[in-house]
Amino acid sequence: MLAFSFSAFAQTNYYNINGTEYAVVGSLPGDQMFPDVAIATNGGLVVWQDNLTDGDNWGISARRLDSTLSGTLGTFRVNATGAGSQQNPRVKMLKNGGAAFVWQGGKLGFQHIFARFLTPTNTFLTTNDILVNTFTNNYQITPALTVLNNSNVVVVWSSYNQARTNSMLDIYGQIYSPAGQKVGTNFLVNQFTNFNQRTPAVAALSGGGFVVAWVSEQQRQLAATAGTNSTYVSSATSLNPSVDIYARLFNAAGTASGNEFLVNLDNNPCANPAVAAATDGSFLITWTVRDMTNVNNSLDIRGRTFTSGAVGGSVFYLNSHLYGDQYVPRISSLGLDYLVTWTSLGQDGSREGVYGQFVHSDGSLTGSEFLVNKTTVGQQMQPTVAADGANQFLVVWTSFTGYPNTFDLFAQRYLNAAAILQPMSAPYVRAPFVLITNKYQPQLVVSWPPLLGLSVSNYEVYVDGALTNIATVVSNQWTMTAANGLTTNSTHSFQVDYVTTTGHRSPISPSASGTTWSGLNWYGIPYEWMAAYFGGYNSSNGHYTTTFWPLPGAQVAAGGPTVTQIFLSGGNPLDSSTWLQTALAQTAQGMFLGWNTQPGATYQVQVTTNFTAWSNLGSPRFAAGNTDSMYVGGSSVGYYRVLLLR
Amino acid sequence: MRKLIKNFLWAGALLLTLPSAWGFALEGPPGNGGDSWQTITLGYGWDDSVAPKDFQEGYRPVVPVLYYASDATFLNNFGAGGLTNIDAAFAILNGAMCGQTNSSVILSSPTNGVYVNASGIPIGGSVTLGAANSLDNYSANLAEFSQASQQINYTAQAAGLLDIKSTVLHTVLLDIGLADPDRYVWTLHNRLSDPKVKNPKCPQNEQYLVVQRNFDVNPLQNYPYSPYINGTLYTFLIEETCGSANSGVPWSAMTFPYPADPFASSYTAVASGGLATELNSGEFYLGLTRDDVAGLKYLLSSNTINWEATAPSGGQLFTISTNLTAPQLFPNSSGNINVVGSAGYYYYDGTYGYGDLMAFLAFARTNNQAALQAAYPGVVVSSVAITWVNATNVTYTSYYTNYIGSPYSSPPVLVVVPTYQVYPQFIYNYTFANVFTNLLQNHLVANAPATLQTSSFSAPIGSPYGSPAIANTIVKITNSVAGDFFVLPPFYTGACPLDFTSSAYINNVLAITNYLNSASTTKVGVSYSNTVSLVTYFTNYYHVVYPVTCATGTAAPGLRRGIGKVQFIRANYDSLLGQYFQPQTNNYSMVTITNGQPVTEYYQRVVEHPDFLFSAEDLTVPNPPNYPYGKTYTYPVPRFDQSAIQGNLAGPGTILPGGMQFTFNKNLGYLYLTGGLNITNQFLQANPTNFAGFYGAAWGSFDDSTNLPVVYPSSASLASLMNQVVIQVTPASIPDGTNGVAYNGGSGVTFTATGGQPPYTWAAPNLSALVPGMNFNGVTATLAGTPTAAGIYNFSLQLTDSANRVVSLNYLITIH
Repeated sequence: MLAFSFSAFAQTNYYNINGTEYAVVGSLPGDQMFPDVAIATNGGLVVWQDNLTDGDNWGISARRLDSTLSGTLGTFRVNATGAGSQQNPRVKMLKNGGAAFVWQGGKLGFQHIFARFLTPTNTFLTTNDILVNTFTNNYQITPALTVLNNSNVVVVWSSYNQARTNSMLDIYGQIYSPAGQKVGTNFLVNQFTNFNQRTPAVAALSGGGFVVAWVSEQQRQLAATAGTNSTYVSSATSLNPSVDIYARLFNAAGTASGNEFLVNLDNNPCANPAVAAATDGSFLITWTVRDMTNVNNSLDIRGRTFTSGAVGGSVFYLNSHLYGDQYVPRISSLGLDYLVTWTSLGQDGSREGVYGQFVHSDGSLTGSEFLVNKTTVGQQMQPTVAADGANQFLVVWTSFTGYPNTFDLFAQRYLNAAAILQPMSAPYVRAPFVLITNKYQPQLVVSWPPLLGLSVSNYEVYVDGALTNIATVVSNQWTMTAANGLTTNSTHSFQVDYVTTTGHRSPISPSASGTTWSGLNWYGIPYEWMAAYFGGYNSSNGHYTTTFWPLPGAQVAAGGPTVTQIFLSGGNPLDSSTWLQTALAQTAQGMFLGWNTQPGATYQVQVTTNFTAWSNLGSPRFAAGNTDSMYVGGSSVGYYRVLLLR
Repeated sequence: MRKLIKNFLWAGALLLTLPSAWGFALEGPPGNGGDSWQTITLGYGWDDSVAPKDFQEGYRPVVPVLYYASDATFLNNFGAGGLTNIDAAFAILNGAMCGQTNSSVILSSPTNGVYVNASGIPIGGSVTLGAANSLDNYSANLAEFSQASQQINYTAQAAGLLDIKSTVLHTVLLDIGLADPDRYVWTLHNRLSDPKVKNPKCPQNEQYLVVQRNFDVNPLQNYPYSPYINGTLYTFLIEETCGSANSGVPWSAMTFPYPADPFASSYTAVASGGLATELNSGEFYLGLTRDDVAGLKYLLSSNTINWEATAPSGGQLFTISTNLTAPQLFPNSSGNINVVGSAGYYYYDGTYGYGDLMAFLAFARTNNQAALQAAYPGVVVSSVAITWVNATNVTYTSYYTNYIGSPYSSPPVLVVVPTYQVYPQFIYNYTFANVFTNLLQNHLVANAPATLQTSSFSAPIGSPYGSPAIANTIVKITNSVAGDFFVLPPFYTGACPLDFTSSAYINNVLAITNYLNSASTTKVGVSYSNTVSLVTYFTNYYHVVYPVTCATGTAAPGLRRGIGKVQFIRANYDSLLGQYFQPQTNNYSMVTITNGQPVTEYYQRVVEHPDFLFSAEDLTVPNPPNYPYGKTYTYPVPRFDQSAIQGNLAGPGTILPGGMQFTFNKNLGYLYLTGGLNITNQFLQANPTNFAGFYGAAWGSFDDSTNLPVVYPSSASLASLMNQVVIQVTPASIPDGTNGVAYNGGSGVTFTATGGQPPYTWAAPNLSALVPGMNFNGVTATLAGTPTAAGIYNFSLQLTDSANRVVSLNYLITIH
């Protein structure tokens, strides 16, 4: 007897939509597809694949989210190797504040699993992509990852013909330390290795271990063999090959805690498992199912909760609109609550739409299914969801935007009704060396990313821990000058908050500080900077000896940049590898501007048509690694420059 | 079609199935021979003109080179960009066929080609191919090939674009022996009412015999049938209509295979062509998949030995055998050689010949085609461009004289005085189809310097006074041509060809001996007239020609090995551009097995028309229920040769070359999108992950780059297509009208729009000119009036929103 339940006693949903949908990475050329997102209370990362990143087929790009989950700074490239097709990216935040990315990359059909780790300061741990799979024959695809209580990272994937000849796909895993070092070796997840086991999902359990779920075909029922046989079938015969969801528990060391177990309870074919764990040790597995009884229902989303000991409850529907296709669920948990999202075909009135459903850890639905996307024309699909561990979920999906950029990523926040507004991240502070009539004008420029998807009336700036704001602005920048009492050689801290159009004020952000220069001017360059590289500062008396300093217009090497150029671009005049160099490359995907970066720095690309007026091209770009590149259009002609912002 | 589902039966039979590696299907004529069970009642020959054939009963090409071309209708609609897409499709096939793995190759001849990218653009590097470059090169498990080459360009998907290259690649596979494996992995063999039931009812008491026609011939796999295609497991359902006339379909029951895992990578085989048996919008292929290559390898491999006839048959095929023991001399050893006039052209049987290249070109340059072909019988002109120039006729007057002031007894000096006369001259730039020049001998290289022989006269130094003067000066002229040309027989007359293309048969047996003009002793004051002669290297040498006996028609059926590969070469063919199809001749061999021993047979195929011809037409004529919006494209049913089938089998047989005309619908439906692509869903939309929408709004070409897709024809716009998604106009179609009667009861039709940024601006340019009596009110967006002439008219409706998005829609109105 099959056990299905519709949650007739749905609980009240206490997560509210917060703001409206917003273009979380802006409007980008090309198609941004298959996003994944990971968030914490202080921000997060959204990652996706697009045909814009690396000049060759799909590439992986990411963008940081600030504490309000607005996109901040520009996008950055994740995959170091650009050749071939990099697809299906996944990201998780590390407990140390960094992050881990995984994806499948290489020539289509011959791909392997790669990873890259971000440090807490958001720079990549490695220059190159990390090959995850040690068995490199055939291909490995569909990676997923999770972060364990002990901070280690578990990556799982499907590998072809690795278990043995003609074993087809099987599920393998690998544990990494937060420092990107392998812990142990690749391990086989599934026990039944005949036929295909594919599309794994993994979630960390509150007890320290993790659970892996996957699709297993023909494990319970073999397919027919009917080449020339004379076996007649009739409507009474129902012997389709089984396609089930199986799962297995592992401890933190990657050792199985028991045998694999069946997740679904009937013979309907299953696909796309997704899994998340609640804080009570239980977990919820959700998947796509094909309704073999009512063909008009086609594909639906079902789920089943399990205790920490893998004792399963009833199977229940997540979608209440059963007609047609609802598929590829994604799930995230927050305390004892889950948010499941999926794509539904035709339900929102125009092709695909994104729907969601809150679920409690006991398997009861909280509230009704709801439409996530506000824009419904065309396709909205491939949703992903993450929770910050405190108050809110974030759903990200790709949406049709019309000509010419076609698809961009959009996001929607869901905030706990009892939670207060999220504070902004600490602002950015920089001290430009501004001269008027050759006299230094002390300035500290305070800026922050504009909040996306939230209805903001104004921002407020606080200085040096004051309880009252020094400025109220509607833009996302404010400059402290002498008019505000700013002097040379002074350090100040800044905090910001925002006020919504409904009059609600957010908590004040963490602070960031900046220090003005002394004002001593070496032909447009601060003395402090010159002394840092060319000496001459006497700390005992505070005097500078400039005798051996090069002039600002002097080239530091034959054919190289001038001292001023290096100062402006943030390099080290004594280290040529830090000097900013740009190059344009014409690829099959159009023109790309590349330059070497200093990890942790932020750059702005500008474009001009007359070498007089320069305008920003895209948002400021945060450098996570040693290089960056940016698509600058399909034209073969253009003039660009790269500026260091901070 | 699939909305007509009446009853679903989930069916299967429990037997052990081993994991399989490959999956491909073979095609043949429906219901032939032992496959008489393939009736329309079971869905065969309904919307697919071919049927699946059993293992070892497939049909395959048996000629190694096929030619493709596009005609003027294609070029007018798709331009050079469209042709490049066709090149790209065949380049993928060439690369796979010729052992180049996943590289694409455009061939200029069976042995020479260049590598191109997936878009058909040369990427540098040429390749020389030999007989060893074939499908036999690949490993046993075909690990060189991916199980998935299908990609989605999401911009193209959103705009509803169908990829030309991928469509061609898919359909060509279906015309060289492969069937759609996804459709026939499970297929219905028999249907009967349960004999044990009295008064059986349908569908309750219907029983079905289901068989597999998807094969796995991996050497590691003994069982040739497989439910896997590119690693994806397929199962099936049976649709039963109980023969109801209300079902709208002629069949009573059919199987519909589908991937058991709804989200496995399915419909990946290029032979499958996507979810709906034709590619969906936005989908494109990077190459052939492993299982496509497996099917081709099985069919064409030299290890696949079939009892079959040769192809083609009749006047295009010559079975050649050369008598190497009795060489003959050509041109002057036979009595049937004639010299034609002053052109120096020798001909043989009126169909081919040879002559002085310089004379030929000089004649061709100033004579029209009729004159040229009269002087040079057998020459085939493929194109000609005519210009005119001011030419100069030079008349030379020569005399001897002594210069004034020259020393006494100085020898006389020959003075040549030219007289110029300017006149208009037509210049003909010909391209010949069957002329080749002799480049085989070093001293006969074309474009070599020719020699203008002139004479000056003086006594040799040191000779006694009064010695006669002799000629001793030669002046060279460069940039001329020298050598010979040969005219290949065009075979129109069915004449037995001679194998001139092999250097082994051409021997120069006599060295060059140029003519020298004689010079006579001269005296001062004696009149002298000379002849200025251009002497080229055309000389009196021989070719050794071995007599060839050739027989037209079909060779006897026999056990023959596969030809190893099929190569595809583009031929120019466009009568409107002055291009004619150049007859092509292919020499090839096949290996037949006689008494257990391989015996090589030699063939020569003469191709007078392109084997594959691509064109464009308006195919939007509705043909419900299968094609409610008309067909996207049409492609031919392969010409199956069943003459060698034995017993009660359905194969194996061969696929005759030629006659493959592919027609693209040049009016691919913009109307489709006016319905808003509000695609309702149903079960058989089996893989929504890759769901791309069934409808094509326009043809396009696109790839995996950031570059926006190219839309065809060039008058179409990607922005407009996307705007149709953003802004939706209703109604999608309008009612018929009657001549002389106020349209639609006098109220006309008012269009409305949703989406975008209102307000909208409406226009119907040229409506009144196109549809007599009708008018359009741009303020109310109303089409009204009283038609004044019956007919079927097209007109364009344009909408512009406040964000300047323009939507242009084509409407059809019928006036009775």
